[in-house]
Amino acid sequence: MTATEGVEAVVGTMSTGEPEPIERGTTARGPWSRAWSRFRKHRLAFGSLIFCALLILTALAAPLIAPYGYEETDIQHKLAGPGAPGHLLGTDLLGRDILSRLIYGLQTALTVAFGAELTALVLALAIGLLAGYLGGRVEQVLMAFTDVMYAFPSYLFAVVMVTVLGRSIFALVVAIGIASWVTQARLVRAQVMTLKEREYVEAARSMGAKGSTIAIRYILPNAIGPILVTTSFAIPAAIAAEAGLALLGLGVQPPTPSWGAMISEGSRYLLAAPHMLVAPAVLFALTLLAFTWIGDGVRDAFDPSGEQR
Amino acid sequence: MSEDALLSVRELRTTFRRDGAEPLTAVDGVSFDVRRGQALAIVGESGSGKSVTMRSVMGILPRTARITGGQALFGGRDLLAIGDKELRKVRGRDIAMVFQSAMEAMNPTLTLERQLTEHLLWHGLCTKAEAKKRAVRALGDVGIPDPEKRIRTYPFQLSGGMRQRAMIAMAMVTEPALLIADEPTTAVDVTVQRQILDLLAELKNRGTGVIMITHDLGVARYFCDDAVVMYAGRVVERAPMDRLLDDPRHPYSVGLLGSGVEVGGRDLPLRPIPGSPPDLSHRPEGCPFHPRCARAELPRCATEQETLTIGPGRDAACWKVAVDA
Repeated sequence: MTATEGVEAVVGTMSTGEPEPIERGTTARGPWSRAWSRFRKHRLAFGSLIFCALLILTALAAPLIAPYGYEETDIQHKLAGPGAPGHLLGTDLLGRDILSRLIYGLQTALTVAFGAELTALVLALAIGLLAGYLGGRVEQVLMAFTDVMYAFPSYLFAVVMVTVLGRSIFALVVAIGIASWVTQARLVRAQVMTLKEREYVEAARSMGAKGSTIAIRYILPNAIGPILVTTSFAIPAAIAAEAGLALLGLGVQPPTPSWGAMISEGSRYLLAAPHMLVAPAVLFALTLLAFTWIGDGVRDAFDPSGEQR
Repeated sequence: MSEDALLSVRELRTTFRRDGAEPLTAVDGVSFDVRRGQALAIVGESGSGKSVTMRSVMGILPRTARITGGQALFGGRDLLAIGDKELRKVRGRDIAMVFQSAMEAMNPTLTLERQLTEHLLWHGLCTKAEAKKRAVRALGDVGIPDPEKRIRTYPFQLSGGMRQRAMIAMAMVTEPALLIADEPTTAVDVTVQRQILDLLAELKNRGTGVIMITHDLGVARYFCDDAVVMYAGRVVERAPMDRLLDDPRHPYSVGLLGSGVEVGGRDLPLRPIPGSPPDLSHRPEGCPFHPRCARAELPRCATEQETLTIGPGRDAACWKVAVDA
């Protein structure tokens, strides 16, 4: 709202004899745009968002950006150190360009993380919403199922999934997604249970809203804040999980690069070629940190106590 | 009773399921009528069952509640018997509800436009463009300045009084025949209270039937024609509003009037009713009010409760009323 509009609003209100000149602005700023403006004020989070956006662009444009293919070997320069001609971050045991492998590894990490968290989110929303909103028998069955999944060790589950489905990106998405939807589904259910007692839900019922309308238009949008917060913290966790599985030898099938596999390999040649470990480890740490900071920003953006009145 | 009633509730009973205990009777044989262009006040303390009564009629009770008897005739149909799908078509279209706090009763994630037009569209009452026109008009009708602009805002961007009026506009946009107002003035300050009541009175004059649920007789007397006094889930007295104020008959009504500060401006000392309303899981036998009643006479009051007609549109659930006459 511009200053003049504000003056007009106040003058207009007073001239009609309205006893309520107190206005919080008349421009339509929805909850999303308020959350976004709070997020933008969080410098660390906003910086991290830019960093992560660059990472995503890099991953998308990997074939254009990466100087070499991830399988390409330069037999002349095996284990070249950083700064070697043509190899900014050096090469590995087989003479493959580390920078290129990092970029393609980024593709793997992000695909797995976003894919897994999207799967988890969809599952969690569906199950949490149904259980929380319908209650009764449906809730008992769904939550019993969720509890069983919760009790099952997620790494063990991932191991089983990868064994069954093979070492593919799809298997990792399924394995990590299924390991992380459980906590989210419980959160969704808890949110829905609180929100469905709210008076505006009762008001919507009193206006003749259908159950599905209430769940989707009245409950879900008000529950989305906390759910987005956990999802944004779950993304770095999924990146770490992918690396962890790779360390165990359960990551994607080589030669498809994965940061976890690179770290694992690098650690074996730590003294001879430290750059093989340092490069992926640093990028891995920075990425996790950036995603976590974004999560912080999202949390603050949806925190009602941070609301500026 | 009367032929021209808009809504006729008869012997309504609503119980709540409890874990490991007998169901709790929250509404116990409540009957009343509302006519077109008339306002009925349902008066009672918290827990007297007044809100549960109206939620039973609307079919928006919590899951643990169950209607175990009675009728609610509206437009020739029994709302308690037509099933949820049919009842949903009545809700919002023919009967609308206004809640205590607009802050709580409006969805914070939807603009006024959405909230004022959605139910018009759910009920298929008009096209989207027409719905917007009607919504703008409804906002104008409740005295919100600059409605074309305001309709694009979110509820939290309005002041408390405006929000309350926007909620009334939301209920009125479908032009329902009956409006149920559940403590519509409790959460707003006094200046706004008056505006809200004027607004409701205007709707009444335009022919809408109004049921006002309130614990505040001062508010009820402002524009209600009839009153039903509830205590512990039962109707203890039914009377035209002015008769109830001038000449309450049931000892509970007498006590309620005596403990009201703003009623009638009469210079009477405040006399609060001793004791507190009963826990419904231990409702006293006979007349539920007898343990607090100064005029109670045992054992009769503790064994039976009888409703006596004491005039046109008047009755009271106390046998002593006959003795008084």
